[in-house]
Amino acid sequence: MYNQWVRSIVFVVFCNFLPKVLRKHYSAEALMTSSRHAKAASVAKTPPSRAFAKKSQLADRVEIEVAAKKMTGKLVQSSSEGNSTNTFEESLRDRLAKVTEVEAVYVNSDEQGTVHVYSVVQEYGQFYKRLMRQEQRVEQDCPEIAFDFHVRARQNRPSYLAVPFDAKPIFIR
Amino acid sequence: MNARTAIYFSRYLHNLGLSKRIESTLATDTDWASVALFYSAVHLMNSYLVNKANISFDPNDSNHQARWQAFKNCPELNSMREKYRELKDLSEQVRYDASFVFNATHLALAKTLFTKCESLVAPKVKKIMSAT
Repeated sequence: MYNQWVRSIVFVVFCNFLPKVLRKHYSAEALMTSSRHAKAASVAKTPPSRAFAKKSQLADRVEIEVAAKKMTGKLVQSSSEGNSTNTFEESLRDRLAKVTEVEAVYVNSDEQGTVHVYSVVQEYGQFYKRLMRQEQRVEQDCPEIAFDFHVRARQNRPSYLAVPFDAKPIFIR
Repeated sequence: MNARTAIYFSRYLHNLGLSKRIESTLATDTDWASVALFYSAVHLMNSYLVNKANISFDPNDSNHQARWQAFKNCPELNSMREKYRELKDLSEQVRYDASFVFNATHLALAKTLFTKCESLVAPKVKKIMSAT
Protein backbone atom coordinates (compact mmCIF):
# COMPACT_ATOMS: atom_id res chain seq x y z
CA MET A 1 0.00 0.00 0.00
CA TYR A 2 2.79 2.35 0.99
CA ASN A 3 4.78 1.43 -2.12
CA GLN A 4 1.79 2.04 -4.33
CA TRP A 5 1.31 5.44 -2.74
CA VAL A 6 4.98 6.35 -3.37
CA ARG A 7 4.77 5.17 -6.98
CA SER A 8 1.68 7.32 -7.53
CA ILE A 9 3.46 10.38 -6.20
CA VAL A 10 6.52 9.70 -8.35
CA PHE A 11 4.28 9.22 -11.37
CA VAL A 12 2.43 12.50 -10.76
CA VAL A 13 5.65 14.37 -10.22
CA PHE A 14 7.15 12.80 -13.31
CA CYS A 15 4.15 13.68 -15.47
CA ASN A 16 3.91 17.23 -14.19
CA PHE A 17 7.50 18.33 -14.07
CA LEU A 18 9.34 16.41 -16.76
CA PRO A 19 7.52 18.01 -19.69
CA LYS A 20 8.19 21.43 -18.15
CA VAL A 21 11.88 20.66 -17.68
CA LEU A 22 12.18 19.27 -21.18
CA ARG A 23 10.29 22.20 -22.67
CA LYS A 24 12.49 24.63 -20.78
CA HIS A 25 15.68 22.86 -21.85
CA TYR A 26 14.75 22.60 -25.52
CA SER A 27 13.32 26.07 -25.76
CA ALA A 28 16.56 27.46 -24.27
CA GLU A 29 18.61 25.50 -26.76
CA ALA A 30 16.35 26.59 -29.58
CA LEU A 31 16.68 30.16 -28.43
CA MET A 32 20.46 29.85 -28.31
CA THR A 33 20.53 28.24 -31.72
CA SER A 34 18.32 30.86 -33.24
CA SER A 35 20.38 33.53 -31.53
CA ARG A 36 23.56 32.09 -33.01
CA HIS A 37 21.93 31.95 -36.42
CA ALA A 38 20.67 35.47 -36.07
CA LYS A 39 24.14 36.67 -35.08
CA ALA A 40 25.76 34.84 -37.98
CA ALA A 41 23.15 36.17 -40.35
CA SER A 42 23.64 39.70 -39.12
CA VAL A 43 27.43 39.40 -39.55
CA ALA A 44 26.99 38.04 -43.05
CA LYS A 45 24.62 40.85 -43.88
CA THR A 46 26.86 43.46 -42.35
CA PRO A 47 28.00 45.72 -45.14
CA PRO A 48 31.75 46.31 -45.40
CA SER A 49 31.29 49.76 -43.98
CA ARG A 50 30.13 48.33 -40.66
CA ALA A 51 32.57 45.45 -40.42
CA PHE A 52 35.27 47.38 -38.55
CA ALA A 53 33.41 49.21 -35.89
CA LYS A 54 35.65 47.96 -33.09
CA LYS A 55 36.89 50.41 -30.51
CA SER A 56 40.55 50.07 -31.49
CA GLN A 57 39.71 50.58 -35.13
CA LEU A 58 37.60 53.58 -34.33
CA ALA A 59 40.62 55.00 -32.54
CA ASP A 60 42.72 54.31 -35.60
CA ARG A 61 40.13 55.98 -37.77
CA VAL A 62 40.17 59.04 -35.57
CA GLU A 63 43.96 59.14 -35.86
CA ILE A 64 43.77 59.08 -39.65
CA GLU A 65 40.97 61.61 -39.77
CA VAL A 66 42.95 63.88 -37.49
CA ALA A 67 45.90 63.60 -39.86
CA ALA A 68 43.60 64.52 -42.73
CA LYS A 69 42.14 67.36 -40.65
CA LYS A 70 45.63 68.73 -40.08
CA MET A 71 46.01 69.01 -43.83
CA THR A 72 42.56 70.23 -44.78
CA GLY A 73 41.63 72.21 -41.67
CA LYS A 74 38.32 70.37 -41.40
CA LEU A 75 36.98 66.93 -40.87
CA VAL A 76 36.69 65.04 -44.09
CA GLN A 77 33.27 63.93 -45.15
CA SER A 78 31.73 62.62 -48.32
CA SER A 79 30.28 65.27 -50.55
CA SER A 80 28.59 63.28 -53.29
CA GLU A 81 26.28 61.05 -51.28
CA GLY A 82 24.62 63.86 -49.41
CA ASN A 83 25.20 61.89 -46.23
CA SER A 84 27.00 63.97 -43.66
CA THR A 85 28.18 60.90 -41.73
CA ASN A 86 30.21 59.52 -44.66
CA THR A 87 33.94 59.67 -44.12
CA PHE A 88 36.65 59.01 -46.65
CA GLU A 89 36.96 55.58 -45.07
CA GLU A 90 33.36 54.78 -45.86
CA SER A 91 33.89 55.98 -49.39
CA LEU A 92 36.92 53.71 -49.71
CA ARG A 93 34.95 50.76 -48.34
CA ASP A 94 31.93 51.34 -50.51
CA ARG A 95 33.86 52.03 -53.70
CA LEU A 96 36.82 49.68 -53.58
CA ALA A 97 34.77 46.73 -52.32
CA LYS A 98 33.10 46.76 -55.74
CA VAL A 99 36.31 45.49 -57.29
CA THR A 100 36.09 41.78 -56.59
CA GLU A 101 39.85 41.24 -56.83
CA VAL A 102 40.47 43.66 -53.97
CA GLU A 103 40.59 41.50 -50.86
CA ALA A 104 41.55 44.19 -48.37
CA VAL A 105 42.21 47.89 -48.17
CA TYR A 106 44.62 49.59 -45.77
CA VAL A 107 45.51 53.24 -45.30
CA ASN A 108 48.21 55.34 -43.72
CA SER A 109 49.12 58.97 -44.01
CA ASP A 110 52.40 60.82 -44.41
CA GLU A 111 53.70 64.09 -42.97
CA GLN A 112 52.24 66.05 -45.91
CA GLY A 113 48.79 64.73 -45.01
CA THR A 114 48.53 62.55 -48.12
CA VAL A 115 46.41 59.50 -47.45
CA HIS A 116 48.04 56.41 -48.95
CA VAL A 117 45.55 53.71 -49.87
CA TYR A 118 46.74 50.14 -50.35
CA SER A 119 44.41 47.79 -52.22
CA VAL A 120 45.52 44.25 -51.54
CA VAL A 121 44.93 41.65 -54.25
CA GLN A 122 46.07 38.07 -54.55
CA GLU A 123 48.18 38.82 -57.62
CA TYR A 124 48.53 41.44 -60.36
CA GLY A 125 45.93 41.07 -63.07
CA GLN A 126 43.21 42.51 -65.26
CA PHE A 127 41.46 44.76 -62.75
CA TYR A 128 43.24 48.11 -63.05
CA LYS A 129 40.64 49.79 -65.22
CA ARG A 130 37.83 48.91 -62.79
CA LEU A 131 39.93 49.73 -59.75
CA MET A 132 41.04 53.11 -61.05
CA ARG A 133 37.45 54.02 -61.89
CA GLN A 134 36.48 53.39 -58.26
CA GLU A 135 39.54 55.27 -57.00
CA GLN A 136 38.49 58.23 -59.11
CA ARG A 137 35.07 58.12 -57.44
CA VAL A 138 36.69 58.14 -54.02
CA GLU A 139 38.61 61.25 -55.03
CA GLN A 140 35.36 62.83 -56.20
CA ASP A 141 33.68 61.89 -52.90
CA CYS A 142 36.45 63.54 -50.89
CA PRO A 143 38.02 66.33 -52.95
CA GLU A 144 39.61 67.81 -49.83
CA ILE A 145 41.95 64.86 -49.44
CA ALA A 146 45.11 64.12 -51.39
CA PHE A 147 45.07 60.38 -52.03
CA ASP A 148 47.90 58.25 -53.28
CA PHE A 149 46.64 54.85 -54.38
CA HIS A 150 48.72 51.70 -54.44
CA VAL A 151 48.16 48.03 -55.20
CA ARG A 152 49.92 45.25 -53.33
CA ALA A 153 49.87 41.56 -54.26
CA ARG A 154 49.63 39.39 -51.17
CA GLN A 155 50.65 36.13 -52.88
CA ASN A 156 48.93 33.81 -50.37
CA ARG A 157 50.26 35.76 -47.40
CA PRO A 158 47.97 37.43 -44.85
CA SER A 159 47.09 40.77 -46.39
CA TYR A 160 48.69 42.84 -43.61
CA LEU A 161 52.11 41.46 -44.57
CA ALA A 162 51.87 43.06 -48.01
CA VAL A 163 51.35 46.62 -46.74
CA PRO A 164 53.39 48.99 -44.56
CA PHE A 165 53.43 48.09 -40.86
CA ASP A 166 51.66 51.27 -39.81
CA ALA A 167 48.82 50.91 -42.32
CA LYS A 168 45.36 50.52 -40.78
CA PRO A 169 42.71 48.18 -42.18
CA ILE A 170 39.69 49.74 -43.83
CA PHE A 171 38.15 46.44 -44.82
CA ILE A 172 39.17 42.82 -45.20
CA ARG A 173 36.95 40.35 -47.02
CA MET B 1 61.14 72.32 -77.18
CA ASN B 2 61.88 72.61 -73.49
CA ALA B 3 65.63 72.47 -72.85
CA ARG B 4 65.17 69.65 -70.36
CA THR B 5 63.40 67.35 -72.81
CA ALA B 6 66.63 65.91 -74.20
CA ILE B 7 68.04 65.40 -70.70
CA TYR B 8 65.06 63.36 -69.54
CA PHE B 9 64.87 61.50 -72.83
CA SER B 10 68.51 60.55 -72.47
CA ARG B 11 67.84 59.26 -68.94
CA TYR B 12 64.90 57.22 -70.25
CA LEU B 13 67.25 55.53 -72.75
CA HIS B 14 69.88 55.01 -70.08
CA ASN B 15 67.45 53.29 -67.68
CA LEU B 16 66.03 51.18 -70.49
CA GLY B 17 69.57 50.02 -71.30
CA LEU B 18 70.19 49.37 -67.61
CA SER B 19 67.10 47.19 -67.44
CA LYS B 20 68.36 45.12 -70.36
CA ARG B 21 71.81 44.80 -68.80
CA ILE B 22 70.34 43.64 -65.49
CA GLU B 23 68.23 41.05 -67.25
CA SER B 24 71.09 39.71 -69.33
CA THR B 25 73.83 39.71 -66.71
CA LEU B 26 72.03 39.37 -63.36
CA ALA B 27 69.60 36.53 -63.95
CA THR B 28 68.65 36.22 -60.28
CA ASP B 29 68.01 39.95 -59.87
CA THR B 30 65.53 40.59 -62.65
CA ASP B 31 63.18 42.21 -60.14
CA TRP B 32 65.39 45.28 -60.44
CA ALA B 33 65.05 45.16 -64.21
CA SER B 34 61.38 46.02 -63.64
CA VAL B 35 62.40 48.90 -61.35
CA ALA B 36 64.74 50.25 -64.05
CA LEU B 37 61.89 49.92 -66.54
CA PHE B 38 59.62 51.95 -64.32
CA TYR B 39 62.20 54.73 -63.92
CA SER B 40 62.76 54.65 -67.64
CA ALA B 41 59.03 55.29 -68.04
CA VAL B 42 59.21 58.07 -65.42
CA HIS B 43 61.89 59.93 -67.38
CA LEU B 44 60.11 59.36 -70.66
CA MET B 45 57.01 60.91 -69.07
CA ASN B 46 59.10 63.78 -67.75
CA SER B 47 60.54 64.45 -71.20
CA TYR B 48 57.01 64.77 -72.54
CA LEU B 49 55.36 66.64 -69.66
CA VAL B 50 57.99 69.41 -69.46
CA ASN B 51 56.77 70.52 -72.88
CA LYS B 52 53.16 70.84 -71.87
CA ALA B 53 52.15 74.47 -71.43
CA ASN B 54 49.13 73.71 -69.25
CA ILE B 55 51.10 71.65 -66.75
CA SER B 56 53.40 72.81 -64.02
CA PHE B 57 55.29 70.31 -61.94
CA ASP B 58 58.86 69.76 -60.92
CA PRO B 59 60.15 66.67 -62.78
CA ASN B 60 63.10 66.47 -60.40
CA ASP B 61 60.75 66.03 -57.47
CA SER B 62 60.76 62.49 -56.13
CA ASN B 63 57.08 62.86 -55.26
CA HIS B 64 55.25 60.74 -57.82
CA GLN B 65 51.93 62.28 -56.93
CA ALA B 66 52.68 65.58 -58.68
CA ARG B 67 53.66 63.70 -61.83
CA TRP B 68 50.50 61.63 -61.56
CA GLN B 69 48.39 64.78 -61.28
CA ALA B 70 50.17 66.24 -64.33
CA PHE B 71 49.53 62.97 -66.10
CA LYS B 72 45.80 63.28 -65.41
CA ASN B 73 45.76 66.62 -67.21
CA CYS B 74 46.89 64.96 -70.44
CA PRO B 75 43.86 63.27 -72.02
CA GLU B 76 46.00 62.11 -74.93
CA LEU B 77 47.78 59.80 -72.45
CA ASN B 78 44.59 58.31 -70.99
CA SER B 79 45.06 54.99 -72.75
CA MET B 80 48.34 54.32 -70.92
CA ARG B 81 47.43 55.46 -67.42
CA GLU B 82 46.53 51.99 -66.16
CA LYS B 83 49.73 50.55 -67.61
CA TYR B 84 51.91 53.20 -66.04
CA ARG B 85 50.14 52.79 -62.71
CA GLU B 86 50.54 49.01 -62.72
CA LEU B 87 54.22 49.33 -63.58
CA LYS B 88 54.61 51.80 -60.71
CA ASP B 89 52.85 49.45 -58.27
CA LEU B 90 54.98 46.50 -59.34
CA SER B 91 58.16 48.55 -59.00
CA GLU B 92 57.09 49.78 -55.55
CA GLN B 93 56.35 46.29 -54.34
CA VAL B 94 59.75 45.06 -55.55
CA ARG B 95 61.48 47.84 -53.61
CA TYR B 96 59.46 47.94 -50.40
CA ASP B 97 57.82 44.54 -49.85
CA ALA B 98 60.70 42.32 -48.69
CA SER B 99 58.72 39.08 -48.96
CA PHE B 100 57.25 39.75 -52.40
CA VAL B 101 58.18 36.92 -54.77
CA PHE B 102 59.09 38.30 -58.19
CA ASN B 103 58.89 35.77 -61.01
CA ALA B 104 59.19 35.52 -64.77
CA THR B 105 55.51 36.41 -65.18
CA HIS B 106 56.09 39.70 -63.37
CA LEU B 107 59.06 40.50 -65.58
CA ALA B 108 57.03 39.75 -68.70
CA LEU B 109 54.24 41.92 -67.33
CA ALA B 110 56.62 44.79 -66.59
CA LYS B 111 58.01 44.62 -70.13
CA THR B 112 54.54 44.59 -71.66
CA LEU B 113 53.40 47.53 -69.55
CA PHE B 114 56.54 49.50 -70.34
CA THR B 115 56.28 48.81 -74.06
CA LYS B 116 52.68 50.05 -74.12
CA CYS B 117 53.67 53.27 -72.34
CA GLU B 118 56.70 53.72 -74.54
CA SER B 119 54.82 53.15 -77.79
CA LEU B 120 52.46 55.99 -76.96
CA VAL B 121 54.84 58.59 -75.52
CA ALA B 122 58.21 58.06 -77.23
CA PRO B 123 56.94 59.00 -80.73
CA LYS B 124 55.42 62.19 -79.32
CA VAL B 125 58.70 63.17 -77.66
CA LYS B 126 60.73 62.31 -80.76
CA LYS B 127 58.38 64.49 -82.79
CA ILE B 128 58.89 67.37 -80.35
CA MET B 129 62.67 66.90 -80.47
CA SER B 130 62.83 66.68 -84.25
CA ALA B 131 60.69 69.79 -84.67
CA THR B 132 63.29 71.99 -83.00
